This record gives sequence, structure tokens and C-alpha cells, in this order.
Amino acid sequence: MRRYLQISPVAAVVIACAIIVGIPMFITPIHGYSDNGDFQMLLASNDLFQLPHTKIGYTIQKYGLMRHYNQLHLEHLTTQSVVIQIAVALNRWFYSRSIFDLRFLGAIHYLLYLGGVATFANGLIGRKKRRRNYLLAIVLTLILADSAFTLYLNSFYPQALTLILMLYLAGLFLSLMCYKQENVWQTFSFFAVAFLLLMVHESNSLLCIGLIIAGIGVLSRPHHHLIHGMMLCFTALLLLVGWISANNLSPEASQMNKYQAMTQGKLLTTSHPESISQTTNIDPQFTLMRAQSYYPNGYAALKAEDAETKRQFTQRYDLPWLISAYATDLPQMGRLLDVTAKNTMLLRPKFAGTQAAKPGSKPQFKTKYFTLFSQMLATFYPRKYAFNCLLAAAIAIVYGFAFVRHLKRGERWLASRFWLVIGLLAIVIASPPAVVVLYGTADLSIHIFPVAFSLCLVGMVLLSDVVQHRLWRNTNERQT
Amino acid sequence: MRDKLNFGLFTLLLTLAAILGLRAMTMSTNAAETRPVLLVYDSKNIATHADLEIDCCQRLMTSLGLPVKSIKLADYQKDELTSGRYQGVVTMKNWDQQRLTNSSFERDRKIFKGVKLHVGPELQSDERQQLCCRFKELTHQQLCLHQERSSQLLSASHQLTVINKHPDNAEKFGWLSGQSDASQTYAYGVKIGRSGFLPSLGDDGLSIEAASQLMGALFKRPTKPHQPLLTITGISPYTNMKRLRTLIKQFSARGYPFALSITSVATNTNLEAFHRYTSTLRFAEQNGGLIFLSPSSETGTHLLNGDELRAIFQTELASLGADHVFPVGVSAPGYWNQSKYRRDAVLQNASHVLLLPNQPTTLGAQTINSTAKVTASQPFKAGVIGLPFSKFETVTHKDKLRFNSPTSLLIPMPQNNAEIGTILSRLESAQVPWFDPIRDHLNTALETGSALLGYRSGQYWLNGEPLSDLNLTADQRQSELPTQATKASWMNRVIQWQSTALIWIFSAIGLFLAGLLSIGWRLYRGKFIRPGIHKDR
Repeated sequence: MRRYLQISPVAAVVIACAIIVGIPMFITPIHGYSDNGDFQMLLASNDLFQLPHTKIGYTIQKYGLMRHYNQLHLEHLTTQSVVIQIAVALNRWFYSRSIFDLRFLGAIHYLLYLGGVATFANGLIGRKKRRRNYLLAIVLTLILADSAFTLYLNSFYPQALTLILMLYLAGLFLSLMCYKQENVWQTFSFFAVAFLLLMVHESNSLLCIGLIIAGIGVLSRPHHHLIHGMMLCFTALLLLVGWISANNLSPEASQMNKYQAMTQGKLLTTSHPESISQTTNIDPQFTLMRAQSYYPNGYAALKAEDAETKRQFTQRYDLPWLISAYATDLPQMGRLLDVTAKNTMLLRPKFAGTQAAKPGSKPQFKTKYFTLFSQMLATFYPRKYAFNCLLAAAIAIVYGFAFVRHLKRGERWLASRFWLVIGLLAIVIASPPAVVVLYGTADLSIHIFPVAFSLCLVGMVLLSDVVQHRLWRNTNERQT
Repeated sequence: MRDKLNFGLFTLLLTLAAILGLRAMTMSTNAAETRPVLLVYDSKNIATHADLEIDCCQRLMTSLGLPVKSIKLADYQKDELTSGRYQGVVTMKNWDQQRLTNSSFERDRKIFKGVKLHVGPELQSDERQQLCCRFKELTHQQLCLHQERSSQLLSASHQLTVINKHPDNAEKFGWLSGQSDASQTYAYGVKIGRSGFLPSLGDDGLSIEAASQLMGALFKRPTKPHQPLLTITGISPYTNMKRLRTLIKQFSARGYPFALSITSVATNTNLEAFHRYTSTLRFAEQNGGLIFLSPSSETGTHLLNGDELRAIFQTELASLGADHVFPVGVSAPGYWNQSKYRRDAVLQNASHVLLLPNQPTTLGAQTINSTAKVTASQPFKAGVIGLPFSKFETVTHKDKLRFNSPTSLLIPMPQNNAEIGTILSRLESAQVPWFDPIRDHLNTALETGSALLGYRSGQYWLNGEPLSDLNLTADQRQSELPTQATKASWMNRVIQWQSTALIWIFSAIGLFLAGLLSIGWRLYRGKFIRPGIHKDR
């Protein structure tokens, strides 16, 4: 330990992130992803509304706050609305009863995010002030403070909470592994975070499988009483919450998902779209709806929400049919998976600016501030689903060997990391096909975000294990 | 600004006319006719669907060739009417319980010298004075409207203000008879000098026809009896093509000339489904059907601006034209003629514009209609008003039906095969003398971005050249076949092939290495780790 390194690597990461992220978020003109049309429903159910004459393509700082009865108030309770409600309450308390400042939401996200960064860094790096830990701290800052991620914090996109809660989840898992004794509170909060994560957005229910695998890792630690009962209970609970989350959406939203699963999924990337009418009762003329979205831009020969469309089209297929249709045309599934893979590392939402309006600025302005990591990913990361599978298999093999080796040596705390990595890789592998079947290629930035962030988390865990020589070489160090 | 300019031009013309004498005098009368009519309504009163009556009135005047400016009574500004910019004023009362008034409008109307027409109840004193009539309220009576030999029971039986007694010089357009006393009759539309009165625009065929004749006479439109055009509406690429073909076959077998009001798509035009659609439309053309292209319905979330609208519409026209489907005109709901950018982008391209009824507005629904205070509509070379066929079904002596302005009777596309039979029997019993484009020498033109489409008495013209055959030639059809399997250059193919090949190679190498690793691990364990000396911590 050197004297000049007074500050611990974890504190260094947190302070660096706080400064790098805080400046663009809170100093006017504020930065954050602007609305691409998704906010409206969320705003309405949280007593907010867009003020008249707001410009498209800019981050909007001020929203209107409803003062009277709101028919749509918290129609579908999600983690996101809870956080927004807290921000609204603070706004009412400290600022105004009729105007909502986005920075209240930003501030809550910001504090939660810093907590998440601290938890994750603590679990990953540990408290030792070795030089290689500082190297890890730099890499962590580069990744976690990247604008592509942190601009979500100043927006109403569900990705903000997905990002924060996944950080907590991985952090809690890693720190749990450091304790010899069982830590009831941390175990409990791990599962609480898992539940919250599932409830952020309906598509987050797809994270269920990864969370169950990671949960097995938490519960299979030594000294844990009632292992089997608990495991069963928590698995059942996770599945239940996942199911609730998947169904926690308005009928209109589920109509939309169903419609787009067909038009932006099954009908795309095929030279024979009319094959759909062979196994269903759909008029082949409806193949002309290919690539149409539920809320088209301005102009449609037949509206998606029209009763006629429902009767002739959307009511004539269902999820089991979609699954079997993809099963009979696997090459198409492969092409669609490659479409998702192409979009995986484009972390920014499409059609979203990042800056509040200021004199002379253009709409859809995309900031370049602190985007080294995301730019590199977007440029160099291979855009094939098969590559993700290969990568996952390679990492799984590496961790599998380490797992067996550590178990044989009785180093269960090191072995347990295997479960986290496998859980995250399961998300990377399993959720794109599910996304394609359930939502098609619509709104990929929301649906695929957990995949991209899981890959980043796996990368950081792998890096830390390589740097700290935990995979092959014999390490006796243990953080407590 | 534009109005001011128009007005300036107009005064300039007048001065010229004064200087140039007789020849220029005719010019000035022509110029006078281009002045718009001011339509002032008290309320849209969507509870009684009065917005549809306003729309009907606007379309009626467009089909008579009158430009119209519509304004709400409350938004009327002082001296608007007396500025000399208008040839006439139509006062429409839709909400008599509310008794909405605007004193500056009443004062201006009193001074105004042009044509005045009142539609509905609630006549003000100046109007009563000018009409010199005695009025009577009829409540809850089943009334029958007569016109020449035709008659029709009016559907609405609410309160109606009618003329009880009128001076002898009054010109009458239709008369009403009550249900209780058949001998008691009332005049329906009445024209006295330059003033007119209409009890209501009504929701029935004959009442709209009476209104059309009254307006034509008041505004001195050249009268010529028109036969109605039979139009099937609501045809989109998603319509059942077999059913549409059956309908076309039946129409042509029975010798009904007909038109189709269709919507199309701007994307996915390389799909088989689109070619099936265009081949059905070609089949319609070959059987004498006219095609009116309608812009697709607008969704409320994000309205397109004029340029985007024009681009999409031109794309649709081009993709239809490539498959030899040549629309003779454009059809659109009435509100498309009420906003300038929509009219310029879509309607102005065509010589023949079929104006369809608006959709009824419902409370709370997002409106796509113009929200401007003043809306102006323009006439076309031939504006055709579209009225539902069902409104005329209860008219007696339909074979004698003649319309005062170009009119089309609309029948929605049948939803099932049984409905086709119903429609045919309805048409059979109606015996309406339909407009025949060949016999009546229809001559239309439609401008697209690159081509001029024309139709003259059954012959299609493309850029001034007559088209001999609508069928696609073999190589035209070839070029349209879906070219999904695009010929990629060999370079691209190599790159595509190599990326998949690389993945296979990598996975093979990975498996191989994993195998080696496990063998190596076993060797290592067998050589260096003796059982029993396991390092336990």
C-alpha cells in the first residue's frame, strides 16, 4: 500500500462518476434523452403532461403537473411510476404544484445510480488499495459513466431503472459472496432488487431466467439454512412476479405488442410473407401491413387500432401460433435475431435528442460527451447473434472450469461467481428470441437494453477476475 | 394578406373594366363570380351531428362551383361582410336552444347587398323583413317532402320552422305535406329576390337536392341536370379481393356503370398482395369501372405536413400507375377541401374531385379536422358531391331523379357475400338512371409527378397518348415480380458467406480447444496432484 493512494478505488469510482454524470445532468442546458413518442402514456398515469409548444427533439426540462382528479392515475403500477411519484412528491414539496422539473426525477435516479455504482464497485474491486484495483476503477468509470447509459437518468425511459437495478443486483451478489457468514439483510435486499427489476417494464419479465440462476447462486452459499425450501420459494416468487410484470400493461399496449410482433416480426425478413395465411385465417392482403407500427406516422390505409384490423388480423393469431410459425421457419428467426444483434450495442434510443433547447441549437442533437466506450462498442462489436452465443459459450466454459476447480478446493465464495455470470449470459442468449416472438423488432432499444448491459456487466466481472487472477491462478486473497 | 391581394386585384380589374368597356364588362362579371360565399354557423353542435350538415353544405356549394369561407358566428369580425369580398352569405342555425347571436354580424348582414340564405330556425328580424313571409313552427310531425313527382318521408321529426305564407313572387323549391292533414302544404325552399330560406339542410336525399336547387338559383349557377355516379367506397388493399371481383362481375353483367373510391399504400408495393390488388383494380377498369384514389386516413398522433403528404400521394399514384391502374380523379372527405395544404397536396392534382362525407365527430376523440377559425374551400373543375345511396332509397320515382350538381351516390364495400346480393337487389329496385362515363363523355385529367393521366369517354390516356391495352405485357410483369433474391455482387456474397463461415470455424476451434483443455487438465491432475494432499483451507 502506497501512501499517496489515500483514497480507496471504490470511492474513486463513485466520485468520478458523480462528477462526470452530474455536470451534464443538472447544469442548464440539461442533458438527457428526449421523448421519441413513448412518454405520453407514462406521463399521463403519473399526473404529468407535456406543456404546450414544447419542441420535438429536445430534452424538456419542465412538464405540467395535474392539480385535479386524474382518471389515469397510476393505472399500472410499475417500479418506474413509484420512483416518478416520489419525484413528483418532492417537486410538490420543494418547487411547485403546477410545474414539474425533470431534474427532481434526475436527482433521484442520480442518487440511486451512485448507490448502485458504489455497491457494484465494492463487490467487484473490494477495498484493497492495490494498483491493479485502481486500473479496474478506471475501466469501471469509463464504462459506467458513459453518456449512452447515463443520459437515461434524465428521462422517462424505463432503461434508467433497469440500469440502476442491474447494478445493484450484480453488486449485491458480488458482495454477498465476500462474506463468510450469511448476511440475511443483503440476501433479502438482493431478492427485493430482483423483484423491483422485474417490475420496471413488461419486457423486463424476460430477465426472470437470469435472475433465477443468480438466485440459485445466492442461496447455494454454505451456511445457508433451509436451502432447498428457500430456493423453491424464491424461484416460485420470481416466476410469479415475472408473470405479473408481463401482464401489467394496458389492453391497448398488449394489442400494440401483438400487432407489432406480427408486422415488425413475422412479416419481416422473409421472401414469402404470404405463408402466414397457410396456417391461419388471415387474408394474405394483410401482408401489406409489413413493417407498419401500431401508431404510424400520420398516414395509414387501414389503421392498426381499427375494429376491422382487429377482426380480420389481430384476432386471428396468437402467441402459440407465432412460436410454431417461427419454429417452422428457423432461418427467418436467425435473420431477425441478427437484426436484434445489430441493434444491441446501439445503446441510444432512436429519434431522441440529448440536449435541452437553447438558442441556436438544432433538434436531435447527439452529445459526444464521455461516449468513448459506447462509441467503441457501437463500432467494433460484431453484429451477429451467433457471435453472442459463441462468446457466451466461451465465457461459460472458462467459468465452468473455474467453478469446478474452486468447488474442489472448497473455495465456494469464488465458485459462486459462476452463477452470476451464467445468469447474465442466460439473459444475453435467451431474451433476444423471446423479444422477437413477443414484440418483434419494434422498440428494440427498450427491449434489448438489458442484453447490452448484461454483456457489459459480464465483461467487467471477467476483467476483474482476470486482473485479480481468480480464474486460473491460485489466489488466497479474500475480501471481507 | 392574400385576401387583401385578391381584393386589390379585383379593384384593379374593375378599373380596367370601366376603361375597356363592353368586353371588359364581361370580365368583371366573371370576376364577381369568383368571390366566395361566407358561411356563418352558430355552432357545430356535435350532439346532433350538425357538423355533418355544415360539411354537407360546404360540399354542396363546392359541387356548384362556389368557393366558400366558413366561420363560426362568435368569431365573426365587424365589417367582414360589408367589405365587398363576398358574393353572398349563408346563415346556418344548428343549435336553436342556445340562441347564439352576434350583433355586429346582424348589423352587417342587414346592410349587405349580396345573396342571403338562411338555413334553419331562429330568423332574425332583418331576415324576416327581407323575406316578407309568415313563419310557423312544426313540432314532432312526420313530414313528407315533395319535388316534382318525387317525394320522400323526412327522417327527422324534431322541430322545424317553415314558411306559412309567402308573397306571390316567391320561387319555391319543393313542398312539405303534413301527416295529419294532407291538404295542408308548406313551401320548402323559398327564393324571394336575392334572399332565400331553407327550413333545414336535412339528412335526406330529397331535402339536400332541394337545397342544391335553391342554392343554384340563388347564386345563379348554370343549371344542367346531372345523373348520379354509382360509387363503391371503402376499398383498400386489405379488402377481400374475391368479393370485390364478384361485385365487379355482377355490376358489369347487369350493365351498371360504376366507380370505386380506393385507398392504396405507399410501401410494400413489391409484395404479391399489392399486385393482386392492382390486378383486381385493372379488372374493374376493363369492366368500365372508374377509379378515384383517396388519400389514406390520417392518424391523430403526428399529422404530416403538405410536402410529406404530397410525396406519399405521388408515390401511391406512381406505384398504381406502374401496374396500369389509372385513377380518373381524387376522392376525399370534405375536410380535405377545408385546409389549404391538404387541398394543394392532394386534391388540386385532379380535374375531378369526389368529396365524401366527413366522419361524425365524437366528444373527446382527437380531431384531425382543421381547427382554424376560418376555413376556406375552393371549387374544382368538377367537384362531385358524394351522398350515401341509402339517403335516396325512400324517394319515390327514383327513375326521374336528376341532380342539380355533379353527384355521386355512395355504397360502402360489402362486408360479406350475402351483402352483395342485398346491394344488387337494392339497386335493381331503385332503377336510378346512372351516369355512364362513356355515353356522357366524361373527360378527366390527373397530374402526377411525372405523368399526365387522362380519361376520355372510356379511353385511358397517358401523357397525351391513348393506351391501347391495360393488360401488362409479359416483361412488365416480369419486372414486377418480387425481387427478394437480389443478385448480390460476388464480393458481397463472399463477405456474407465468410461471416457465417468464421462463426462455424470459431465454434469448431472453440470446441476443439475445450476438449484439449479438459484432456490437459486431466493430465495435469494425474501428474501433479496427488490425491490426499488436497490443500484445504
